[in-house]
Amino acid sequence: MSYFFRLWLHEAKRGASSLTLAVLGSVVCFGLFSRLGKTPEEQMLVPLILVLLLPVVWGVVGSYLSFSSEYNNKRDLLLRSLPCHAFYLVLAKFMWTATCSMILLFLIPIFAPVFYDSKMTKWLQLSSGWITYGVCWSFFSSLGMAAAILGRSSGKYVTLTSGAIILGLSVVWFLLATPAAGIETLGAWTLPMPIFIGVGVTPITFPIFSTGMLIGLLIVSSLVLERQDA
Amino acid sequence: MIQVNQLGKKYGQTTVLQDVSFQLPQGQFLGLLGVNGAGKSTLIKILAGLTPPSQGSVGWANKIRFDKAAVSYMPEMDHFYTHWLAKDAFSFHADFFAMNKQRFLDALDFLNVPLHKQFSQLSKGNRTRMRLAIALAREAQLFLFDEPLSGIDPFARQEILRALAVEFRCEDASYILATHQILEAEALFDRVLVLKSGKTLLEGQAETIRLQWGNSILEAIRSAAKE
Repeated sequence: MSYFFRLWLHEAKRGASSLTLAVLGSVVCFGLFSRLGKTPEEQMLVPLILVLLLPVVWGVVGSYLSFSSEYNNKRDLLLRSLPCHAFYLVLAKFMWTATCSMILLFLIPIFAPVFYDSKMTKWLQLSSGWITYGVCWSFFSSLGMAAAILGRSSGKYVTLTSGAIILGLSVVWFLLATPAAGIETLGAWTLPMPIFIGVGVTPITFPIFSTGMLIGLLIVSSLVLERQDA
Repeated sequence: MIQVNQLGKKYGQTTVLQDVSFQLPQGQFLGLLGVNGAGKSTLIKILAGLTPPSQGSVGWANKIRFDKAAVSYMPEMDHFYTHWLAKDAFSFHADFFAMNKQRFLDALDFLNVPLHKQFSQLSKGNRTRMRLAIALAREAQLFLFDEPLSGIDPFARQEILRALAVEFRCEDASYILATHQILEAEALFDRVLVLKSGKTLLEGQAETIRLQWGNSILEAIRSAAKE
């Protein structure tokens, strides 16, 4: 069992920088775009729509690039050569991404209080959604790892497919739940999405897309502001 | 002694190894030879426990099955994390394997590996040297080297071969080296296994093969391939 904790620690060390970038990137983006709206609704809606688009681009392009490169193969090779049962490797991967979910649960409310009213019940309601989302992503991400460890070349397709399923379910959830639950709930579900996808992809693509995302959003925001001024 | 019996491997409908059998006594060095696609890397991956065989078995003479902890495997690809310094690579492996730190430091020194550069900042030759130092520092019974001389300049190749053959060789461990540099590495081999299209072309004591087929292993391979 000690191997498991060593693996978990290794995964945690590896992913810590990705997680930090993801949290800061998303919160900064949201903060920037919330300045675009004039009414309180616009201040919530505009950044949400823009941030909502990110995980789609990020997930598809990031996954494609990371799987096109040899990075994942190399990492899998390193981990698979360790004298651990494959179960521990998969569990470590699962626990790491699940841990990220827990960290986000406590970090994001601090940086993005815009989502929360003063009622604790609301906070808990939103948090439970995040946990479900994070654990689901962790589970599917681990499936990809399991497939790779078992020597199936379809590992990457399992990860991509599961990522697509998660995105699809999220979209359905938005369509069904948002009209009833309101914009705050949509926001709570939207903000962590790119983070989970980023953590589930690779640390190499993550900074690239974080930077790309920030630059892209800055350009779009300046254009929108120019129009508003005109 | 390592015993490999009737080993076979299929990926889907494609057969990459078929009925490969050999024995490698303790302390001996096996040269695993063959052209690209002959099945060398697949055989090494099976021996390293990275992929299961479709048929046949691998084992120690006195044990039932192979243990990854007893096998030191150096793959052909640069599989280390790019941000690793030499000490990071060592501490990672020391978390999972029995390692000899003094041998590691000696190997770094002998192979002139820069200590304060990240893995991504090293030249290909130095990346190979760092991976070799890690592989050699393992307390293992079987050492597997998959093309460690590939893409390396002749001077560095001699250095690596000397490290394998003389400086860091453990008398009680067995070694398997897959390489295309047959002429340079030939002196290391106690035994030779030559694969062709996944099947055994030649297998046995290096000296016996030389006497039977020609003056060198390369000549022997050419002669055997013609038959």
